[in-house]
Amino acid sequence: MAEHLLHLKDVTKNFGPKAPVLHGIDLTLAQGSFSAIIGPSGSGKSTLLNIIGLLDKPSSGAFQFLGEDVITMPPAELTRFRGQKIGFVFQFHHLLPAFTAIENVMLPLIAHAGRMRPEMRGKALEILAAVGMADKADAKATELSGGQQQRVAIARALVTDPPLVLADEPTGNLDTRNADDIFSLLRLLNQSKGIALLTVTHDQRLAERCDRIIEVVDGRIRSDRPNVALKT
Amino acid sequence: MPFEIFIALRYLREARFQTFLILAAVAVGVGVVVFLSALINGLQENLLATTLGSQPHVIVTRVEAPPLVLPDETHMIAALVEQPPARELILHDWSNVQRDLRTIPGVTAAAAVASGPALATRGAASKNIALRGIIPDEYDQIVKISSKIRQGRFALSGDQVLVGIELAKDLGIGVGEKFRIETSSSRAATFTIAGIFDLGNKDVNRRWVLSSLRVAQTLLDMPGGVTSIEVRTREVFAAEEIAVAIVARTGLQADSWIKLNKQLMTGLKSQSSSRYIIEFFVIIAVALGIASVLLVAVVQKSKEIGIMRAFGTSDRQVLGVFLLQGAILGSIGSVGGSALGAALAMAFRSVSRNADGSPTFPVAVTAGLLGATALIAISVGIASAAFPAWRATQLDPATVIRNG
Repeated sequence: MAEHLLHLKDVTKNFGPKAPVLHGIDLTLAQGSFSAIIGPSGSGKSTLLNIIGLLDKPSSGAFQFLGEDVITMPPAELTRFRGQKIGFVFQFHHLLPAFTAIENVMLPLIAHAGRMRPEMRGKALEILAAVGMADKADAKATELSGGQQQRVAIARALVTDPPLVLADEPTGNLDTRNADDIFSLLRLLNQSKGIALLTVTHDQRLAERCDRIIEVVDGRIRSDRPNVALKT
Repeated sequence: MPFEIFIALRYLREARFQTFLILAAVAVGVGVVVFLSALINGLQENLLATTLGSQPHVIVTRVEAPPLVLPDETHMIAALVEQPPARELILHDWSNVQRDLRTIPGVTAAAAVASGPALATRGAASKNIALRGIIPDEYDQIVKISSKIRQGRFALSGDQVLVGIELAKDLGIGVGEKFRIETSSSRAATFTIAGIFDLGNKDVNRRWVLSSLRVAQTLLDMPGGVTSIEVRTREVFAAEEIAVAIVARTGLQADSWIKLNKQLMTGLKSQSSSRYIIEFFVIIAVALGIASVLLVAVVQKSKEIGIMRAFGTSDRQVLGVFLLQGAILGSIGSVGGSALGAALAMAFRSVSRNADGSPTFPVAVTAGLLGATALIAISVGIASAAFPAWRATQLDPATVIRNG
């Protein structure tokens, strides 16, 4: 069995006095895995993704990431840890419009190092080439199509070589053809670079292309199954 | 290039119209502060130069005895008020006092003066004058007469005297010509004009006649004595404190120029207060302008800030991005404002002129003034950015990414 990347045990999340959004979540992700979280709107998928992405903290329970207790980690250290270990791909790409494609990809590197260094451009260009966007490196983010912007966003998520990429509806804003292309790209990068990918999606068709499907309903994991059909 | 500078510069460039407007506002604010400061400084320096051009910083005299009051039989009203005789005001041991005054910290020069009223006559013309006997080299350190000689030269030997430019006109005399001086003690002598001075004060130019100390002592009937010792201080505005120290040290009366020119001081203080109030509100307006632009930027870019936080940008870096924008706006605005202030000062100098074409008073935009204003502008820029920057650090990345 692959080594554990992260492990959540009995994780609960409350927002104020309202009923908990997540209850008793037990979840383990292996390094290099390719998993999907599915479920209806309001089921707690995004909250779970935010907790796994260290953007939010659980109200109770335990959470270890690469063997480290991230719940007790001081905020500044947690921010640095998140930057190094997790890449994010969002539904609406969220590229910074004032910057070119390559600058968007370089930003996480510059933020981590504290300053821009000449070798960063080479690294960013290499990742852009891997997502098929090398020829658009110097184009402004606003000059790119939706599919191209999402490819650049994927490059930005990968540039720090994180062991985990979280994707929140990464194809939700794209047409079917572009969605298939982006999903194929994510799958390719997962296989070639060994990066674990956890995606939240409403698209059952795309979920069926993942190795593992986790279904969240009413803040609980209703089912967590390997994708047998894919494996056969 | 550091991350914070890279992002801050790009954000300012991206919103270039907004950036231009706020830079213009900062520049106008800084320009007003520079020009107003130069104007008021110039005006005050001019007023002080005019006042102190013919006046010592402190005058030391004997303590005046109170007037003698003789009541009438009813003791209800004064029948006679008798002023103390002038003789009682003469300082006889003045050289010891002068030596003592020179040792007081802050005193740079002390000079003895024998002065009294007299009448100057030439032909049918006669004028009331103030005869002032001085030791030229000593007195020149108190009031720089040597640099204010308009005709002739600064010399007071034998029968030579110096007269003010107005008195020379009134008597119709010039350098090398003679006139007569008679005092109230019925002593009189004829003198030759060695030089004519202009101290920038019409009354002084009309009344003062400067002679050697010995000549004045003889004419005013105060052999070996003087009426005052005049003092110059290192710091003009320390004169009052030094006057108090002189009284404590010598027991004599010491009046500073500040005490003798209370109205001028009130005027200067009022000018300064008005200037500070105007500058304060200009600075507040500039600060509010910068703060509002950056606050709007934080709201507009909250999602981007959330994304940056998600990929590991620290609170300190987010804070730095917005504080730097404030500092950059303050710096560039202060450069533009300094140029504007200097241009306004030049325009004022060319417009505000005396009848002879000379400037009414100096409006100097100094490096010190520009440096101080730039420092204020940059500090205000950073301070104005503090609240927007803090707001940016308080954004929850998960919330802003989801909701914007």
